Amino acid sequence: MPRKKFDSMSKSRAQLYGQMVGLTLAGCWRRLPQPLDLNSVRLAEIVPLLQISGAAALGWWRLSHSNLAHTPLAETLRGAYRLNTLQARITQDTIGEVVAHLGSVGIEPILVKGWAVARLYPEQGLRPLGDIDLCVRPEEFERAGKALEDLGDRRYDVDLHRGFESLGGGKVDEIHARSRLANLGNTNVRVPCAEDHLRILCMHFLREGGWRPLWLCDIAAAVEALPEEFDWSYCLGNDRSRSDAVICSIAVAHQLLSANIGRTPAARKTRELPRWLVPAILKEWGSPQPSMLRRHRAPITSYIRYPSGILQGLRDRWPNPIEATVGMRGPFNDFPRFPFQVGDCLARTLRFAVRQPKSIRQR
Amino acid sequence: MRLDRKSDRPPRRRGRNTFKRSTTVKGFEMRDKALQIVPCAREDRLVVQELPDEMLVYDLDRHKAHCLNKASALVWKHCDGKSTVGQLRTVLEQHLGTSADDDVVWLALGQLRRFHLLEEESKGFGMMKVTRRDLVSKYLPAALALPLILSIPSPTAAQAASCRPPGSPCTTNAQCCGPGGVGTGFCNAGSCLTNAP
Repeated sequence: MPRKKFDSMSKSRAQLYGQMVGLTLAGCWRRLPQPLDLNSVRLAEIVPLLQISGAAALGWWRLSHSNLAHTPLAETLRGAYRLNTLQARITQDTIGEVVAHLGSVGIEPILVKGWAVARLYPEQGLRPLGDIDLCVRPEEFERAGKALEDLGDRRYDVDLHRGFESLGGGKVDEIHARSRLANLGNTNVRVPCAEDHLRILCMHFLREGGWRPLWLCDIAAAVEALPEEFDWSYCLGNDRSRSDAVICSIAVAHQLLSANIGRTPAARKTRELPRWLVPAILKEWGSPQPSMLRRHRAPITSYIRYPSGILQGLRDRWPNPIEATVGMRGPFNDFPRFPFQVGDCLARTLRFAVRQPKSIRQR
Repeated sequence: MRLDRKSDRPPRRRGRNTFKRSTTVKGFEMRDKALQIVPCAREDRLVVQELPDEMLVYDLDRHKAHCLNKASALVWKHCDGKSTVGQLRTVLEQHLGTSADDDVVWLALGQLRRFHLLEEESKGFGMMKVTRRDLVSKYLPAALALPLILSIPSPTAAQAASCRPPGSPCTTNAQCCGPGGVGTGFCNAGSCLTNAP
């Protein structure tokens, strides 16, 4: 889809495309998804969106169970599936190597997102694996960072987290105590228990402004794979704003992707979702250039050297209502989001200003 | 004398036309020689994943991904450095349940060689030049089953996850954000660039 066409597109048109992305991905994490009822013209319009958001292989999976299975569009998406399959093999080897190396210095990390959730999908090529997100205890963080330096270029594949603060919080000791060992080829790797992982997936989806439909598919896949003994009170915890956020994201997974949430506390929430939530997500999904992607592309410090794009850079950093609400630990209700957006923007600017002299000194 | 002088010259680069001419001039003798080839599949620095109808191969040296269809995969799997072209043809016939001639194997070997999936020594042999186009008309009803290797396009960094911004350390192009955050950027001397160096 040409970029200009999208740049001038109205907000409602982006939402329409977002809705089509949701329709295409509904139930795609299941072994036998429902046949897709979408014509090829409409599909052609959203294929680039699926590719950008990393959901191309899931789109193919859905198409492969429909009458569009043998179309050139399906073949385009199938390329992503093939690539993901190979990437999964390579990433699995890297995970094994990294975890074994950290183990050799007495650190047992917990693997979150990525492979830990990809194993819930019927085939390993359906979900792309990117960075390897490893959480270590805060006191082990520096040591783990140094140990990773021994791995040469492979250290760049690892996103090391100090505890779980950046992933929605939680008591580190408790998360470690409840974690499980998962089999990864010849090695075992520690993954969070279902309760912690669902909370991490939900909080991550919201913190990133909900821009990737893939992450909502992760939530849907996790919800439908919940074990019988799932402890909702532990998962939601005592923090009201956090439990609201988790419930809202599960309810959104139901509304946009038809996830089966019958056994969850979110079942009651589906009709009470804040009015701004779903449109904000659909707008991100329907945009060929989600603001979060543009932020990743050019960190704000890069504008020190290339100041010409600073205005666009600042515009890209205006938080969407979802990330602003999570960033300010606000409630998910119908009140206007503008104050949260202003507050979040100011808080981030302040954090940046405090951090910057330190990073300049380190350089 | 003339022949001697010719042999003193540096060997000509084996281009498409040169090769065709040599097979034509030497005719059956060349063909018989070629039939003695025992191609050997490359194993090092490859990641291989088998799927029900195809085989995926990632070349860690060249950072290229390939998709082999059933026929190509069969030939490649049986390139053990012992099987001749005739034996590979028999394998193909057995597995695909249809008759085939040596040209089908040559087509597969040609593609495997082009995508660097055969050991270096296998490449030293003169190979019979067979194109897919030559065979499509011959095997028209079953043309889709002819050996085929597709090159899988590189992933856009955005397809995987957060891509690395300009200036970040990298090892492959795919890790870097391209223009607009879509498509691959460039990894130049270990650090990401958005545009080509």
